[in-house]
Amino acid sequence: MKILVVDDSGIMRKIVVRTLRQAGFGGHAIEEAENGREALSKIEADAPDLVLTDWNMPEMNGIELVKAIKEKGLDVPFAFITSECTAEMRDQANASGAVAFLTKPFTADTMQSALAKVLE
Amino acid sequence: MPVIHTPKLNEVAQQLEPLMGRATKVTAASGPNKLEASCQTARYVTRDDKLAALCQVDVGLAAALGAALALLPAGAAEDAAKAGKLPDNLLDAFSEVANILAGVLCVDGALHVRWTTVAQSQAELSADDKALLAKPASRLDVTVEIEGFGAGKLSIVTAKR
Repeated sequence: MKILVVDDSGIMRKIVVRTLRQAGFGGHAIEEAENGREALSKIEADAPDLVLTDWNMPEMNGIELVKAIKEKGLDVPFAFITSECTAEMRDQANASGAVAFLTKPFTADTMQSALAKVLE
Repeated sequence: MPVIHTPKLNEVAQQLEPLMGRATKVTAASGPNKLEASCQTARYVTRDDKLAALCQVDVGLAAALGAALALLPAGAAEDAAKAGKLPDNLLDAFSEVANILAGVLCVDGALHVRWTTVAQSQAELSADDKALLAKPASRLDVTVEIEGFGAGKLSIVTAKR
């Protein structure tokens, strides 16, 4: 399987990748993108099995990315990872069809339980 | 009407310990922290881009938080503390810590708040920053000790809204 990690922070992308490995998902191919626009290009070129995206990013944020994915008729599961977690954001994520909503800081255990249904 | 949340010590602790991935002790300061001119100041704004809160951290603690997050050697944090300035890699890492600390302000029922920037010294503070520091609606003063990386002061002040 292929996972696309989308975050404008290079350090956070490394942490997400590291935690994916710690959560037992290290056997999957992991790609990175630093904003929604770059992610969309990568998804259009070769759709991953899961998009793990930050919420707030320059160029195109996470919710705009999800909207663009749907507008293009692409069927790609996605999950949000964000530091700002409100009921409103969680509702918005659920309404958009997200398979998971992870709050920073996250652990290997929380990532494992949130993503196992998609990646196992 | 939603207001800016006043963060609590346990909320900061619950945010930092899993983030650091090691024992991290947060304890109440005996009074308002007195921070050096080299302290790092993270800014948080509301959805309408009004200044909502500031988080000020000793440069040594900012370096330690960044190094622990990015799994850099503790020596890199010590060098930054001695220099009184964060190198780019530690600034990036500390900025991510500051971003994640938005979680202590962004709770259900409160005004939505997000991190924007880090001022790298008191000299970089804006007039709005200084006004908020002089007359905050609330403040939290703690010391943070990260196993293997050292300790330092952290203060969060919030605006009245």
